[in-house]
Formats: sequence, structure tokens, C-alpha cells
Amino acid sequence: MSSFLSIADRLVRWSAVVLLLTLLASVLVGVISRQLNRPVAWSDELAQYLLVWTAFVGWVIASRRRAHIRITVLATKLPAPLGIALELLTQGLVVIFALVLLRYSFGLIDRTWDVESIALPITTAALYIVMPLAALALILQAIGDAALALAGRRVATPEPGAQPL
Amino acid sequence: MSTLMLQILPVWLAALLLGVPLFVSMGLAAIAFAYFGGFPLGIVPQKIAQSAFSFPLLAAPLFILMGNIMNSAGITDRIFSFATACVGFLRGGLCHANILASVIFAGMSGSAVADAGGVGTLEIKAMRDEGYDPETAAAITAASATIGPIIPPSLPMVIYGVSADVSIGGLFLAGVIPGLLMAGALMALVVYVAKKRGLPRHPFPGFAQLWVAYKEAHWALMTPIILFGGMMAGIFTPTEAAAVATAYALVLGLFVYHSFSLDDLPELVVQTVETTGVVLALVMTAAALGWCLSISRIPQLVGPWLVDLSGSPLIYLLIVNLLLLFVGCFMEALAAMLILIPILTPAAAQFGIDPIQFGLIFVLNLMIGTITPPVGVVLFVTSKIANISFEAMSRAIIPWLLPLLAVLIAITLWPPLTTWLPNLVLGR
Repeated sequence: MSSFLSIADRLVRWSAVVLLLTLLASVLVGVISRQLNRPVAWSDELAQYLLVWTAFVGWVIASRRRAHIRITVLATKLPAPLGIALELLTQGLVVIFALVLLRYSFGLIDRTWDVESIALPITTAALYIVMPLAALALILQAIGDAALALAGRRVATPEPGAQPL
Repeated sequence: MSTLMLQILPVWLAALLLGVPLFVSMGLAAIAFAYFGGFPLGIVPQKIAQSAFSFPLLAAPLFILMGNIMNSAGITDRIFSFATACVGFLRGGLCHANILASVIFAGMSGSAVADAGGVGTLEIKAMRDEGYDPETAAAITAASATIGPIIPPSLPMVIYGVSADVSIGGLFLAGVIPGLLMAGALMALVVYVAKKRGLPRHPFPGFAQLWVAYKEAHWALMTPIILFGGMMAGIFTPTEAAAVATAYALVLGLFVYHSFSLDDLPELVVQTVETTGVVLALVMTAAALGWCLSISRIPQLVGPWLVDLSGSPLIYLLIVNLLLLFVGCFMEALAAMLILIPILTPAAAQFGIDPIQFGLIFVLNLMIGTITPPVGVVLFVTSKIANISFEAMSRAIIPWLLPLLAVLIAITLWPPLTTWLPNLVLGR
């Protein structure tokens, strides 16, 4: 189990690095090619697809590190049994949300598979292709967090340093 | 449809308060709306994915990455030394240097928390070493950190621009004058406090020393010039400027200042993607919920109601200010922004308030919210760095809120402070 986790984590980390650096390179190619008066058509579109992918990988990393913004004032003030019940309810809602994404993203992929993108020779299903994976990761993380809550761990408040603004 | 939405909203708010992650609760509200409203459920994941397929939004991860790179020790050190050399000889010199360093850093980073946690760590340490009490050091650091997202680049303005459909370049330009006013107002208060308390000053270092400090910081100081010059001259869009400046920061950190190595890069990038995930999870699910709101015509209901309620643009702005300041005390800025944009902007448009001025008022309010207790993320960060209690931090910040509130009142009452520069440059 723990070796599966560490492999999965490493996979996610490396895809984050590759995606974001490629995104950066792609926007730069757009700027440079325009300055050289030989603008390429695909750079903006590629960067936008990469942003969608980076975003979903970011969802996963943020839920692994429990960095998503949530209001935990109430959950931390409640007595233990109620707090645990609330945490189970919360993680259950996360699972429902992710299940809907998982279930319906396949339909979106199916429907857009034959539609080619405007500037890139790829299918527009690329928009949705990472969503099922991200949803699955969200579900597994929620189940893990629920199990930890059952074992008596209190809700972890995210480090304020991780707050974005 | 609007009745359905009005039934869903209280349930959603309850879930939010119970501790369901904000992005999940917004996604579930959208799913509930689609389900009970008879729409295909696929619409929700579709809106979520499509909303991230956006060129302006690309600026968000790039500015976060740039801030992370700039915060690597070498660069913040140089900026603070340069600021100290510039204004350290005034009475209460390190307070002035603190504010000036924040202004310079604001031109390279778009986040108040990054400013407080990065250059703020140095500022608080330097001030304590010189005998300032930790409360004052932390309070000035927190107050000046709010300048970060007002002077471009700015992460909150990217998010505001994308969500409210306002020109991000215009918002960036509009932030310059208010940002400098905030610095000026804070420095004016320092002058007063320094005189009253007889705060220490450094001897004037001489122009030779000043030149040395400048040369040390030269390449870092070029970053805002590249960013801003490129956007002013119309060479770059904000997204492109973000990419160019990030590449520049990478070269600077890796090869010029050697403040980090290639081995550190993956962790910097992963942190960036994590923060991007937090931000975009909210932006994407808020877009899905926003679609539901517009289908249910809630903004068209609330807008005229707010117009009738307030009667005049000025009273409306006053209400907006009070509401945002109040919400900012209790809610994280990004969350408050995404929830309130669809509710508050239609009425502003109906009153004919310039969308750029309204955006600046919105963002400045929420940045002040990051330094107001009980929920002020910047206060958490600075109290931790200065090693004082959150209660002490909350008391110490109070006088330093006044200059910022004065600037807020000024930009509310006098639109040219925010609209003049964008009108001039963009020829609106």
C-alpha cells in the first residue's frame, strides 16, 4: 500500500513538473515567434490544454497535502464523536462530487473524441481526458481521510502559508 | 429556476460552514441545480474543464511560479538591502525600508502571503535585531504586504479579471497609483510614530554605498521593468509578460544569483502546481456554479434590487465596501471574491461604475481582509514569523489599518485614481 502511494505520488509530482514547464515553454514560443514575425498558431492552444491538465494535477496534489480551502472552525470545536461524524459526512460529499465527475467525464470524452482541435492536430477530448484520473484520485484520498478520521485523527487545518493570495 | 437556486444556496452555505472543501461544495451545488433543474449532469464537468481552457488564466500559475522563484533567499536579501540603503537613514528607517522593499517586491510577486512569508521574514528579523518590538515589526510587515497584489503583477486581479470578465491589463495598470498611495500613506504614519517614539535611524550610507547596494540588486530590480514596460508598450499581454518574467526569474535564480539549483526546481514547481490547484479548483467550480446562477437569472434579480436599495452609485459603493470589509474579516479572500463577484458586479454595471475602478475597490477590500482578524491569512503568517500570539498581532495591526482604509476611501470617491492610467495607456 505505502509503496503504491509513493509511486503514485512520484508520478503525480513528475507530471506536475513536466506539465508546468512545458506550459511555460509553450507561452514563450508564442511570444518569441511573434517577435520574429513568424507567429505559430498552436502555442496558445497547447498552453491552454496544458493549463487544464495542470489544474487537475494541482487538484490532486492539493488534496493529497490537504491544502484545499475549507472552513474548519466548526469541525475543530465540536466534541470528538460529532467531529468524526462531520468529517465522515464531508468526505462522503467529496466522494459524491468526484463520482459525478468520473461518471460523466467518460460521456464528454466519447462525445468530443471525433472533434478535432482548431490549431492542434488532436482531439478536443483532450480537455476531459485527465478528469477521470483526477476524480479517482480525489475519491481514494477522501476514503483514506475518512479512515483516518475514524481512527481518531482530528481535522487538519491547512498551513496558512499554502493560502494563495 | 430562480426558486430552485434560492433553495440550493442555503444548503450550499450550510455545507460550506460545516467544513466541506469550498470547491467541492460549489461543484455539488452546481450538480444539484443540474439534477433538479432537469439538465444533463454532464454539463457540470464540462463547464469545470472548459473554464480552465483560458488564455488569460494561464497568467495564474506563471505568476505563482515567479513569486516562488523570487522568494528564494538570494533575491529578497538584495531587495531588502537596497531598500535599507535608500531610506534607512530616516527616523524609523527600517520601517520605511520594510515598506519600500514590499513595494519593490510587489512588482515581482502577486501575492500578499508570498510577500509576508518571503521578504517579510527578513524584514521582521532585521527590525527585531535593531531593537524594534516584534509587534510593530510584524504589523508593518503585514500592512505593507497587502501592497503586493495591488501593484502589478497580481494574482487576485488575474482571478478577478477572468471571473468578472474585465481586462486584466487594465486592472494591473489601475493598481499602480493606489499601490503607491498605500505605501505613501503607511510611510506617513511611520513618520508620525517615529517622531513620537523616537525610533532609531541609520547614518546616511553615502552615495558610493547606495550605488553598491543598487548594483547588487540591479538584475532583480529589472524584473518589474520588464514586466511592466512590456505591458505598457503593448509588446506583451499579461499572460505573456508572466511567461517572460518567469523565464527571466529562472535564469536569474539559476545562473546569475545561484539562489537555487536545478535540483531545487522540481519542488518549486510542485509547490506552484499545488497552489495552482487550490486556486483553479475554486475558479473552475465557481464557473460551473456561475453558469447555474446565470441560467436561474439570480444576478438579474439581485442587481435591480441592490440598485433600488442603494439609490445612488456612491451609496452602493459604500455598501459594497462595508460588506466586503465585513466578509473579508471572516472569509478567505479568493473564496469571498468568487462568491461575491456574480452578486455585486451587475448592480455596479447598472450604476455605470467603471468596471476597472470597481475591480480595484473589490480587490483592495479583500486584501485589507487578509490583515483583519479573526480570519486574516497574512496575520497568521506574520505572527508566526515574529513569534507572537495571534491576539497580540491582531491588536498591533489596528493603527496600520487606518492608512490603507484612507486609500480605500480615496479610490472609492475619486475614480481617476484608478481609471486615469489605464485610460491613458490603453486609450479606452
